[in-house]
Amino acid sequence: MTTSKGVCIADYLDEECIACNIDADSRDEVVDRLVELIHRKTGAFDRTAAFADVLERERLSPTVLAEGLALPHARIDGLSRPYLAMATTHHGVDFKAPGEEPVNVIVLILTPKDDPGAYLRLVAALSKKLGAPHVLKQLMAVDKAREVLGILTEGPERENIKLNAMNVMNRNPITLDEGDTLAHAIQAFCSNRIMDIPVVDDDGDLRGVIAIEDLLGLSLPQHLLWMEDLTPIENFEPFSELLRKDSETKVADFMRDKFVAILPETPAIQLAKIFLMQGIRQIQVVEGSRFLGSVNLDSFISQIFWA
Amino acid sequence: MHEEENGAVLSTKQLLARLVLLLLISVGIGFSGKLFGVFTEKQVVATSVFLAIILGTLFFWTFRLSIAFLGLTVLIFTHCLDIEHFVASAELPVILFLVGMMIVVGALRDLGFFTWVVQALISIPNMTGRKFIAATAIASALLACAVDEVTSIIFIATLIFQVCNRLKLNPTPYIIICVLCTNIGSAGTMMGNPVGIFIGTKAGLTFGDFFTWAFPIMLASLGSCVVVCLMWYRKELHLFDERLKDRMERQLSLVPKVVVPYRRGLAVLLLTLGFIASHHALEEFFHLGKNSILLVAPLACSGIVMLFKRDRARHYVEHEVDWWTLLFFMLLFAIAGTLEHTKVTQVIADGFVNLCGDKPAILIPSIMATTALGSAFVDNVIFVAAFSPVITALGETMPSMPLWWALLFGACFGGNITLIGSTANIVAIGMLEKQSHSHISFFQWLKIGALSAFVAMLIAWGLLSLMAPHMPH
Repeated sequence: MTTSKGVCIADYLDEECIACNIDADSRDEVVDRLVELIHRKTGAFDRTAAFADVLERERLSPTVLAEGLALPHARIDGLSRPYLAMATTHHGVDFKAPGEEPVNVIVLILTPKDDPGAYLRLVAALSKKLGAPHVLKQLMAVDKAREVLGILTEGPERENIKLNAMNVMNRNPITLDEGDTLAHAIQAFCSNRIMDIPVVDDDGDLRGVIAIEDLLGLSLPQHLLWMEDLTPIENFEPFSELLRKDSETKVADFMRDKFVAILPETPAIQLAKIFLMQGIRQIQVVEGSRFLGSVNLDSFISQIFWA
Repeated sequence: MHEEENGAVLSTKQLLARLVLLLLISVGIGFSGKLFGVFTEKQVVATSVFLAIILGTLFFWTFRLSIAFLGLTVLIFTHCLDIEHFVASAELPVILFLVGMMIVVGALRDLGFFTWVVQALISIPNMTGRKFIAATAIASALLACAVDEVTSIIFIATLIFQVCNRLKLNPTPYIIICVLCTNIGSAGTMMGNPVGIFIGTKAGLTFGDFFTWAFPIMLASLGSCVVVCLMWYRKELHLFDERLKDRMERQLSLVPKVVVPYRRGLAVLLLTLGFIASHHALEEFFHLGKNSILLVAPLACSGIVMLFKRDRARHYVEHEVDWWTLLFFMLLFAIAGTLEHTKVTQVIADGFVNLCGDKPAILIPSIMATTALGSAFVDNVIFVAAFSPVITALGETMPSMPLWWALLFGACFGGNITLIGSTANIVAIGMLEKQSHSHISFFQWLKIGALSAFVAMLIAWGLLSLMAPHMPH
């Protein structure tokens, strides 16, 4: 796993692969046109399979990265290096992401199947470039591929993109407040289908974490866990009492104040080691005590091996 | 100074400074004995190594085993100890007794015995704060008698944390009460404390002797400790009562009430206790050496347990037995044996008799007070290991049994004086810091610890003096 590499968007995107102000009605149509642009340039992959792979990835988890921006992608057999294709559209295209507005800037990323870091580095470079204020508006305002490329390639010629916690973390995970109740926690776990929730205070400092098992820990007191076999205990209904007081039990009463926290510049290889050796599902990213985001094992794995 | 991290968090400079200080003090005291013409060369080495171990446990609790290993090496190199004497003094039967008990304790946990005890304490009818704490404290003392003090406090402290967590109370006072009672309870039988089985072996005392002479004194001292603690912490117990009443009114329990299957666990405990209790009769019936069955009884019971719980046998041996501590004990006994072998203990015994005379009325409180003060700051096993040959030497000219009991009560009750006085204290404080982030200051503990130890020892001294004339020679 290469953790640091210079990334220049111009190395992967050229004018032939940029379509300005296209008139497309659906996500599938935009993706099809972008795949076609890259295929026309390289011809080194199965176009139909690539289109299907991108849509399948999009169906499992829409890639709308920010308001108005989507980065559909797939890892393709046969590619020797990554390729980018980009489209802008004035009227917006629905990328079927729940709660998201139609997107106006779409960048397709196709990377070789055997280079998982390429996608992460390109996403990090694009996020840095397109995340700057007004860049999306600038892109929307121009109608020539050369101008689009000029906007994307201005600034330092080569960004040194590191594969680190900052680039793989979820910046807006579901969090709880110390004063939230058990009822809030149950709601957050069940409605979002997540396993771990960071607990953050009013100042944005990380105070603890709650794992979904902690809800069971509240019902199963320690002294029962001393026993090797609990099967003889048949009449055990502690959950009703737990729920009876769910509005008075505060998150601070049962959160874990010991958790794994790392700095944003921690390399991805160290994250991989922590996940493997400590058997945890979530790593918190902090600067001092300020909470920056979380890296979940499943998203880390999917970004490394599958995204 | 016994915190587990002690030593581990030291910088290299601090570590070296402490090592130099340790060597200077131990070697200095050893050589001053030679300068005053009290010690021979071998006695100087034996005393210095033993002092290094005592200081090692004070300065580097986490490195105590390394210091014991190095100390043994020094003794072998300087001809103060040979392998034959090492094996003879390492008290292997005592170590195996403790191994057997630890395996039995692991099985008792698996089989739900401790869960049942905790559940029974929570289910006391018409519970009040005082009733709950008094019952829990007494249970912790009796549990210490039945298994050992560390096991007892681990399980009882977990109960206290659970209850205090539900009542939103600071667990510190209740933990202190239970630890004080656990230390007192550990003097009741020879299983309560490694000191008990060591004294039993050295003095040739049987389980019956402990039950006849030590157990009643322990019960009286325990009663005094419970009363002193309940009075000392009356405000906290009042708050406990209020919170408990409030919770009960809201129809919320302290912990979920469940019916715990306990019979198999209780059967294993009764089998072990029965086997140990009948060791003397069995030894006489089978014409076996004194305490031979006593020392193998826990091994026999753990063998049966491991036969029935075959899938857990390896877990019991590898995880339930505290090999680190047992290895330390083994080396400690051997090094203390060197004190006896090189006749350092005879010198100390003579000094003791010169100082206190040879009348039991003075020797009993003197031994008890010396051991208690020593055990307050040094691991009581170290102190007893060093002092037992002194009692053996004293016993040559007078009845030794009251002196052995004085040593036992001094070592066990003295553990209450400071927060580093016994392993149970250290374990409980560690749990308290981990669970509730509460810290106990040295003086916060000293006030109630010294008071309860003083009252308990007064009672023990009085009862021992009354019982001494009736004890067998």
